[in-house]
Amino acid sequence: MAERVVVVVGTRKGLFVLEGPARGKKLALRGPFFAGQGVNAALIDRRGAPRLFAAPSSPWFGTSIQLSTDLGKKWKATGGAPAFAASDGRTLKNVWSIAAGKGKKELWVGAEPAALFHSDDAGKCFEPVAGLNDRPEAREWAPGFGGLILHTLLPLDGAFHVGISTGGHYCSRDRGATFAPENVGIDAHFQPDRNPLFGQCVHKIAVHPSRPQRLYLQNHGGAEDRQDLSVLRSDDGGKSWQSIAKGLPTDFGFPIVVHPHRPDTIWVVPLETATRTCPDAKPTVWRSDDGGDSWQAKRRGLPKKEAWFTVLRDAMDCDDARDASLWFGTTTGQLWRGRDGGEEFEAVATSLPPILCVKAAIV
Amino acid sequence: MSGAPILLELPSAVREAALLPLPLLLAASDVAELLDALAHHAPLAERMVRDEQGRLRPHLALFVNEVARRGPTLRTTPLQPGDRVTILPAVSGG
Repeated sequence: MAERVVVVVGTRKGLFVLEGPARGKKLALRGPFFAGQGVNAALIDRRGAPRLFAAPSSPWFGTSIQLSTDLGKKWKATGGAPAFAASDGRTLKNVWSIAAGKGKKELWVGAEPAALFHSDDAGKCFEPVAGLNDRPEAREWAPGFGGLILHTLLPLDGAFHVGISTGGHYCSRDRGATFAPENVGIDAHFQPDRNPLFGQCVHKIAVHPSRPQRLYLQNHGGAEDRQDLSVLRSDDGGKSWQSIAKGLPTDFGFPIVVHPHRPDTIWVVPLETATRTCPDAKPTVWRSDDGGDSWQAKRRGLPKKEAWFTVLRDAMDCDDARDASLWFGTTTGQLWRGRDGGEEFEAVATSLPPILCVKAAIV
Repeated sequence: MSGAPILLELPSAVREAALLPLPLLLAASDVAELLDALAHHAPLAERMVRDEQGRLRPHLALFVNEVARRGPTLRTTPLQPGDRVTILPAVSGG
């Protein structure tokens, strides 16, 4: 049977789902679901029959966790949503990340304000994770321009990495019971001490599960004095980080994605600091096939000039077809597909609302 | 819990999500009690109109007999038997 690809696209005004043959030209577009609600987080969960999770956030009625068991044709609330205890004092504003844990029912959710929540019943109930949320410095984390958000969840065997803007990289080595900051080498040029224990504006972290000791990180970047600091790699499981930004036009950006089959292949989208758009308004995805030691510009099929969009932190993903496609969405509502790892791009949708997140997988 | 039944009108999105019939008649002597009663009767509906700190969500408006109530005294706004409380999405968005 031919491979089918599903792409979940969260936008500022609802959720869209595209589905079709992975090698085909046309994908069916469904949606918008949760019309009018921003969707920052989604998950294609393939533990068993494929399930889609999404976290629409209504400006009026709060955030819910929604589930589809038919690839996005119908959606239903899981019944639970993350919430702080009344005694905590914090109020959930949004959900920025959803990740699958062990078994078929464990879910992890990252929230705004930055906090971690856990469900062991596929989203019917959520509990706050005290080992991160109640750390003493948690009340010192400060919002970045996008808010104070926990945007990256990487629950690996033996280590659980999370990314917080602005809080930094935290890691648990006891399955989420306790967390500690691990930010050695991650620049915080917006603070007097550029190497604090915590408080870095980490934008996104990626890892290939087969190589859990090697992580990649897109940091805030764009320091006035240096622009070669903030695309990073760790080869010791996140304990320390080294820059791999050499060869990129800037070190500012939001997403960083690792290839599903090639652990040394990664993509970033360098942006100008001031405009959050690609240098010279010429969109370019940069790919490394050697873990960030060298970079190649990939722009075939993308606009050659005058393209003033941003690719947000969760708006790029790679499906896991044999000839994997890279997908990214823009703040101007375009969904781009780069076949064969980004060798040539095509616009799959051109007039969606501003795109906040993109998830792609073979189902 | 005390007081006579109050008619509570909820936004259609809340009614649909929580599978609630209209009207809701709940006993309460002030707004906080009314929303506590809603939490007991329909927790999903209550969470959609009130955050985990017990505050009315910021982009909702609450009316008692068509008079808008807001601010720090909202929770303790007294209710009389037969009052009608209406919660509506406020004019907001973009």
